[in-house]
Amino acid sequence: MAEPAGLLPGDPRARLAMALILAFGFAAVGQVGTVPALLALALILALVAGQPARLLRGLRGPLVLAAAFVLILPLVSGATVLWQAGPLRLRAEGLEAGLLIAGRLLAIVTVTLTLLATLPAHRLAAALRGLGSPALLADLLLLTLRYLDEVRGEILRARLARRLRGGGAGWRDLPGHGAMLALALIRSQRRAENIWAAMRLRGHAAGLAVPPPPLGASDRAGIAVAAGLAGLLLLMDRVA
Amino acid sequence: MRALLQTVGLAVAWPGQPPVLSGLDLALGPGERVGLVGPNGSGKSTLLLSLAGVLPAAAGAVHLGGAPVRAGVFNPAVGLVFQHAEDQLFCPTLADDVAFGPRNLGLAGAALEARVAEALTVCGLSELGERPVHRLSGGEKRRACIAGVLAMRPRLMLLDEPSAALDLRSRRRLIRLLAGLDQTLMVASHDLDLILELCPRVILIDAGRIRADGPAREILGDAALMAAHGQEVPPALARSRVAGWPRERAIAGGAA
Repeated sequence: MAEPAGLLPGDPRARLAMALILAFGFAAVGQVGTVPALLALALILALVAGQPARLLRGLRGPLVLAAAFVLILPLVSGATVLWQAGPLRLRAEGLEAGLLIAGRLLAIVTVTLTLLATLPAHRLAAALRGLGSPALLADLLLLTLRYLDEVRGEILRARLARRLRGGGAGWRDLPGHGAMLALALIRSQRRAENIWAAMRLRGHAAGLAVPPPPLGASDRAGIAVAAGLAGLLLLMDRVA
Repeated sequence: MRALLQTVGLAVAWPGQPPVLSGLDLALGPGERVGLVGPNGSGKSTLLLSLAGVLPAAAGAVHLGGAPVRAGVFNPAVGLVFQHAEDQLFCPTLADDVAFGPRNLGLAGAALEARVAEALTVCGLSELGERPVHRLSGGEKRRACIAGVLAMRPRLMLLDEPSAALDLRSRRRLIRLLAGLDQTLMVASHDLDLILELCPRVILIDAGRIRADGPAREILGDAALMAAHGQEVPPALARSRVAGWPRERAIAGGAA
């Protein structure tokens, strides 16, 4: 089972399905008037999950990106000037687009973090398989996550080793950094190959595991609620 | 006694390279513990990977329990403990990692939990099941790898440098753990004292060929043979020889 998260379904397949349905629903919203409902829905879901601290940590980066959209787009896009101060012109179309993009981005990231951040990578991969996606895709996801982790570790160690032996940390030593990166990639590939071998040796993808049980009533209800909410949002969006 | 593991004329080569191993004939009986020694690059790890079915044989064959070991085909009867624990631990918690293999064998529910608990207990890790694997110590990681393999109840366990980078206490604990296992073991290591303590039989390989195969004390104690293949007589054997000298000679040597 996944790590408990408030009232959310425990089955990773249900959570993944909910996240996909809501993310596609949010992405299809086209009216800025629907954005408050979008954000409110994402916020309610996050509160139901009961992990605000984890969520806030994960939202730091997207918040910066969303703020950039809201601040920059009104200055560079659109024709209707709302306010002017010297060369700076605040345009209505840009503001609307910025708010819409930022709202959709924050809502999608919030539901994704809420529903999936507590799932370990291998459970997420298993959920993907359980929902019928090709095994290769699920394995690629799993190994990519592990591989990126390895690359990051290798680069950090190589950077420390360089620094301890007097290597420059700035961008003036680009060839040195390039060589370090190449070496890290080669080492990480070898490590990833070993991990893949270790997984295969312990029966991964051998097709012997018990197939996952059917989704429970609460899991199915969770998916139905997500689909209903996404449909409602889209209806509001069309009416607005 | 019928052999559990048998190789006949085994040769292994990496693509586009000359064979790393060639003409290997060996047999291991059920429950036997065999040490695999040899210099760096002699082919120890390659042999273990080939026996486990990770690397295909360029020539010859590997049989386990009379059935051929085919490269790339899952075979739960053989377990490989990698040289680097990080290569083997890929799940978030120790219990998750140990459960990975049995789950792939079709176990679920109480049977799966019991299998995990059993493996953790044998390896002295029963209190650490929920600990993230990256927060285990070096010795714990090594035992976690063994637990993950043991949970699949293999008949043959292959261990690549199991004592590398372990402190004395962890190494001692590892030796006790391995000595208590019922499985057939093949242990590749440069830790010759560990081999001497754990394995009654030793296979010495060098440049991809078996150079000696026999009782551990005879092979590891043969200074000329060991030197010819870049090895040294392990300290424990060297010490026992000095202690076994005639008393007069030892005293005279000491007085001189």
